[in-house]
Amino acid sequence: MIIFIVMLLLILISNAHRADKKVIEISELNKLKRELRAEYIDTQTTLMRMKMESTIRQKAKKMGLKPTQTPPKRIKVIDKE
Amino acid sequence: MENYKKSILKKFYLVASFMTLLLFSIVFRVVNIQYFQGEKYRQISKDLTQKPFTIYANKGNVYASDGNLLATSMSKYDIRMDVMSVDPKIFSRDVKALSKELSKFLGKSTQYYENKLRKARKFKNRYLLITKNIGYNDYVKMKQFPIFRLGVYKGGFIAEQKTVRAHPIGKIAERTIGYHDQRGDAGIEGAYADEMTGVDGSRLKQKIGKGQWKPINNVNEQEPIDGFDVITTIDVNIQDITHHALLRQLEYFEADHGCAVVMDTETGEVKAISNLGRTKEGKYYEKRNYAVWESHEPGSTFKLASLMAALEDKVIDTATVVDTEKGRIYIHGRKVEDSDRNGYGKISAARVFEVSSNVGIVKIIRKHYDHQPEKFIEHLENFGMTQKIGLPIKGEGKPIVPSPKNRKTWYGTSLEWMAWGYGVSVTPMQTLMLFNAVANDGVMVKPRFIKEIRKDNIVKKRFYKEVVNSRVTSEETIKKLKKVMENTVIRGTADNIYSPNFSMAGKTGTAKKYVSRHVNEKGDTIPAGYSNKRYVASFAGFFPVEKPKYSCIVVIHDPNKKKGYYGATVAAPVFKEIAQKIYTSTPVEREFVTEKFNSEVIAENYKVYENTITSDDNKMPNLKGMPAMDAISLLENFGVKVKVRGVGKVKKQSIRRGTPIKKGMTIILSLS
Repeated sequence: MIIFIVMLLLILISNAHRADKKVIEISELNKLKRELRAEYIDTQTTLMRMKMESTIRQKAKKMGLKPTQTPPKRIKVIDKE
Repeated sequence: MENYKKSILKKFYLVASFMTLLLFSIVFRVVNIQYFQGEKYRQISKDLTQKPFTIYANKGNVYASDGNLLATSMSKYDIRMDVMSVDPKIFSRDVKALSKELSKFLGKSTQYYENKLRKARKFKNRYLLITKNIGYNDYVKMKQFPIFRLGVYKGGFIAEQKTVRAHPIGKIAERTIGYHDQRGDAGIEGAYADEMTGVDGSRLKQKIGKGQWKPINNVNEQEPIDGFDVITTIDVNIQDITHHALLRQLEYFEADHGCAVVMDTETGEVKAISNLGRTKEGKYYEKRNYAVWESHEPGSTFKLASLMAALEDKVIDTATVVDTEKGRIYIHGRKVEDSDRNGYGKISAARVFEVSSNVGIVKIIRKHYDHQPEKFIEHLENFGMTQKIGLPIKGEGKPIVPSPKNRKTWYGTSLEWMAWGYGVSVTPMQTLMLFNAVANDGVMVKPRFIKEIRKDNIVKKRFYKEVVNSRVTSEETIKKLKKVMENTVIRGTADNIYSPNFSMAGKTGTAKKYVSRHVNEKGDTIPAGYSNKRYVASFAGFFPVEKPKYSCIVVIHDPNKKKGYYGATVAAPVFKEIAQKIYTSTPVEREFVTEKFNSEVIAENYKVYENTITSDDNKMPNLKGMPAMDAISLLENFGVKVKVRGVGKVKKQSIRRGTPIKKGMTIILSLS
């Protein structure tokens, strides 16, 4: 009987400790999540600036390229039945 | 004996009563603490080990119509250094390397950083500011610098994280995206602050070890509610083009400020809105939302309203001849003058509009509305000129249109001056709305900035097209107006922007600025009146003419008169650049009908190709004899990188057939 109660107490204590550990883990994961989000947004910002036409225009200028004066043409070939 | 016993008993009673007293006092104390002061002490204990935590709600983001982020909350870092925590040996060894890296990263010279760090060391600075507001990626890079990479305690690297509101596309459209903070409410963020902010939650937590807190209950006392995301109608590409086209023109003409707005003709969605103002140093930035806020005298772009009214009442036709005389007339002693000092002579009403003859339009309106000005005003009401549009963005400018009903503001020349855009005041958005109504075959739609309000990708509220006036004028009038606006670009005031490749229609505007009584630099008092030096150049129109897709307005205030001040030279080129850009980025479809082409070789090659690509054993196929073009497309579909040597068909493959394919592996093909 006593052994049973002691065992229950042990489980109770270890359980409480495990819960505490979980809390620490969660806070660490939260920190990681914040960092990853920050990285994502920061990278996306850089990407967006890089792919903007005005940026590309400047970079392409060095290579001697400039925006076209005529629109691209999409050619569709239809087979005669 | 008896005596002795008595004496003991006496002593015993004394001790016993003393003990009892002690017991009572303890019991009293316990009861007192437990029940009478208990509340207080329990509270103290609770305060030490438990406290409510605020769970901050995430503020919503602002997105462009294509899903690009326009505004979001993001982490920024301030980097500081505890110079004293670095080991002296390491410091003297690595300070040069660190300075070099910092110089590469932040721009100033290596020497500058070395001096700064050494000086900080001398003054025992434990909190030296290195840089402020850097993004996460930069922060990670910086963490790897010499000395810094030793960490907080040995390298003295201090990074302070903070959450700020950031605009990933930078200064572009900053004012329209706006903000909601201690500065107040501006733009879209200001207008939809309630939806975007969300509600903070709270949770009771108990102290456990390691400075951590554990939630007491399973559920939050108050769940946080995240803010909603706002999806705008802004198109990042068009916005980018508009911004830079306007900026270039403002810089060239050294103008004070300007705005450009592009609107989808059919739906009223604002695709781009740019507002740039000049700083003292001559740089430009999104200073105010001029397009929405600034109500000003429009000048000639307002002639559209005049012509529209006259055509609608059928008092004139586009062919009606008007005598513009020598380009100068006087009304009640006030002069109306054409920009061509020789005048245009006798011309048609359409031509009056095309060449923007002030005399011509004034004569038309004077002849037909002088006896019934109310009728003209009624039209302006119908055109949405007399009232605010009712945009969600705060600070919309109030239009001023005089009315004969209000004798205080109605002068003998009010009607005539209104005809060519003076004595009235409207915002660029209003003018754009009117031009758009013409482009949209007479249906006036309200300009809008917001498409949807979302949360977790679920649409909470959708904003639909709002029709202000389903028929501004008759179809016939619209047709005529479109024609004269097209001709304005072909052979009128805006012929400088004409392009044979694509069609545009519009109207230029060059208005003198009304300057109130002031003292100039020389100390002379200048009476109030229209300035001969300060102008507002504008252009409003739409494109392509046949099936208008976008309407656009460009307004530029105070250009340097020496460089040019006409709407055609200052504002119209911005319009053209936007139109041209949109034209060149929309593919033209060409269809060709051909005989059916049959070739057994191709059919067979294709069959081999198809069989390999559809087989799903995920092993390297035999490529020998396959045309290089097919082999490359096949391999790249598998996610394999291909290097090719030579031309022709595959002779040798560096990875043997049957090898399992891994994504990202490289294969070298030798061709014959």
